[in-house]
Amino acid sequence: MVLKKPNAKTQEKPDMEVLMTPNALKPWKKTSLQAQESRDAYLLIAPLVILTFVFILFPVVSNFFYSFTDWRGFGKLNWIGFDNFRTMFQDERFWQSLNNTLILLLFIPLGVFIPLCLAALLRGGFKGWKFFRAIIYLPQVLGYVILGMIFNLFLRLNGPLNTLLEMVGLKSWALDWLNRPVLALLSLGTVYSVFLRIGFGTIYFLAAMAGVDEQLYEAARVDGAGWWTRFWHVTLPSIRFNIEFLFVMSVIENVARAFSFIYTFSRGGPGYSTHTLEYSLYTLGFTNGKIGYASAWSVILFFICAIIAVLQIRLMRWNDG
Amino acid sequence: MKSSRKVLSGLLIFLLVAITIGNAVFAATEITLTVWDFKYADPNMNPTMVKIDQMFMEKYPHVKINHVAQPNDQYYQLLRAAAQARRGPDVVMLHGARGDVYELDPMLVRLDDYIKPWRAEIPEDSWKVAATNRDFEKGIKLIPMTSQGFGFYYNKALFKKAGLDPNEPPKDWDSFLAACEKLKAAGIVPIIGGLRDFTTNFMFRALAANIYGKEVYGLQTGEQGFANNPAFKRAAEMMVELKEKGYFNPDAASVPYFMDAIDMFAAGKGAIFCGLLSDVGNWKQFSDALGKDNVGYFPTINFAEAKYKDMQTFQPVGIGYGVTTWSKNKDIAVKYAEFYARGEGAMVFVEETGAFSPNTSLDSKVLGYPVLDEINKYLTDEHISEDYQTMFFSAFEDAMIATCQQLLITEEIDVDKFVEQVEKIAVEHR
Repeated sequence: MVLKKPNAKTQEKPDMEVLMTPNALKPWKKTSLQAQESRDAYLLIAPLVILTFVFILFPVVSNFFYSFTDWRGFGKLNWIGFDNFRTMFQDERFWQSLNNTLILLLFIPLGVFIPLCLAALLRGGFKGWKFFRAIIYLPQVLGYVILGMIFNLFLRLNGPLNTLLEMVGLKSWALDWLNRPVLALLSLGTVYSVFLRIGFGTIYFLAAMAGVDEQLYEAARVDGAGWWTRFWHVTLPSIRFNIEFLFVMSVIENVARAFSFIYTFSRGGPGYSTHTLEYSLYTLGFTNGKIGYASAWSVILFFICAIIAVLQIRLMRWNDG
Repeated sequence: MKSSRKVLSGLLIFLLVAITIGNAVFAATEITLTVWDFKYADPNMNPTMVKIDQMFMEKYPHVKINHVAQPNDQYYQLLRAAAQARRGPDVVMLHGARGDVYELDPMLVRLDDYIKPWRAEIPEDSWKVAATNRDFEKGIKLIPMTSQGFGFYYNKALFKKAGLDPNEPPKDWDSFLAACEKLKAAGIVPIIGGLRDFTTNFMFRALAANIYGKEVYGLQTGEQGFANNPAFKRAAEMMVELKEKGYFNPDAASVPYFMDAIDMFAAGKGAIFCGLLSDVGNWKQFSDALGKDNVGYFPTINFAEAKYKDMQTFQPVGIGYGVTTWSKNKDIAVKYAEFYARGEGAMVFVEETGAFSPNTSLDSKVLGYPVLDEINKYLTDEHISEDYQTMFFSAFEDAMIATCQQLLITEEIDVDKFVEQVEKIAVEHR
């Protein structure tokens, strides 16, 4: 038996069926069955709640705590107030890492737009498109660690890319991609934020486009709309949620999941030119053993992610509205 | 029929019980020692270490060695995690005289009583470094396996080809530059290695021996520094000059030291290489590859601004083994650490890897490598200056490499900013 909880609407127009039930006049008094259901529900969600507490809430709260200490990862710790934050704001590496992180974010529109176009092209279904779909998705099959190593070898001064450029007579384009600060960061952005997004993005958009009502395209064709008009006025509005979702996912991938790629791609170098906030806090915490100081950095990273999450929710609500 | 079945069943049960009891007794007497190590995965070291482990297990048949190769660049954080959990390995490999090691002091067994019978085999200087904060009062915490140092190996055949005297290594900065120029003119890469990571780092350490000499300990206390030292600034200028004159290999910025640069020198692709005394990239590896009589050595480059001359940067303890406080088999764990530092195990280690052992009872001269005579000339009290890296936490090395990259690869900073930054990271990692 399901008890319908009265709300403003049901109070205005009482459902007779509900009123006929014996407990309907005493809606807040729980029967033993309800209590049992309630207990079962808590029991069922308990593992998830415990796991969330242990692996998400507790680390987040402890991170805030450690950011006010000089803890080195083991042994005793001392409360040092805002010292870590003061040091961080005076640390050139912090501003450079933040700057690099923000520059990487600028690549995201390209990392969303290219898969979108490719999906739209592949959706048309030219000959052999299934083969190209598989090829495009291939980088996604490999992990970031392997991809980082492959691109590190590929982009070296004496690597295959420069050899190829020299072979086709573009010697002046054969640059030291990984050893010039700006070039290294641009290479990182191009490879990580754009190229590596193409596989998943294309497949994801293809799946989203498959859900668009074909009649909309037919109607557009009847009205004389060309490929571009159909893409702009039918496809894009229909998969807007998916575009926003991929955008937000890409932001998170850039801000908080790039470590393993950077580690094998450039090791944060040359110098500190490809250090992102995430990469720096790893080196500070785990290489330098300054867990307290690294925690202060991750507090900033936490707030950046939180702001992105809030913006995402607002954007979705705005779209729903 | 029935009785024979009963007999057979009884026999079977008896056998099963006997096997079970036998296994239990054997398991109770068998000891497994877990060893954590950052060298075990190295292809140049692994076969030798496997061999020594085998020898140890033959000597102590009730002991099984579980040797775990841990990643070099995350080793100390793994040890910190083990220390926090108070479980993990029985024996741990450690660098000598690193802040990181001294910080792990509470997890390491005091070894003074264990080593008493044979302490004299290793010089007190090495034992001092093996004691927490170089303080004997705080106890000896690791048994030294190697001594370490950095210096310049050179290819005598390439020197000869360039018209240089192969038996006369460059004596000072001017002769070093002149040699580089002659080598370059002869189409030979003067300094093979890389600006990417350890070559520049090791070169600074080799030059620092002449800069700080016996006063190097002042870097730990803060009495000595980098920013206020004109000789250190000059060393940085020298590095820039070498780079600007094109004396490094053209792809230097892309070549990692381990093992690419080492292999390049061993393959004769360059004339001078800043290598190590122990582990890998050492006298043995190069002599075996280039010919025993074809490898020369000089410890540093003499230059006018430096206070000292012909100094050899040196670590009295390169690596060694310590025993953890939570080990249930401390006695045999110490025996294992000892096996790598003295006797047959240590000799195999020296012979096969080219390690410099601080153990005076092991004579590597018998191996017959002429370059060892050159090196040994500088391994005297008069010439030794302790490696400045050992005055800091190991992360100083990573920060130093990043800063060298900014000076020599990206050219984001000039020499003044470089010394200022090195001073800053020294303060951070002291």
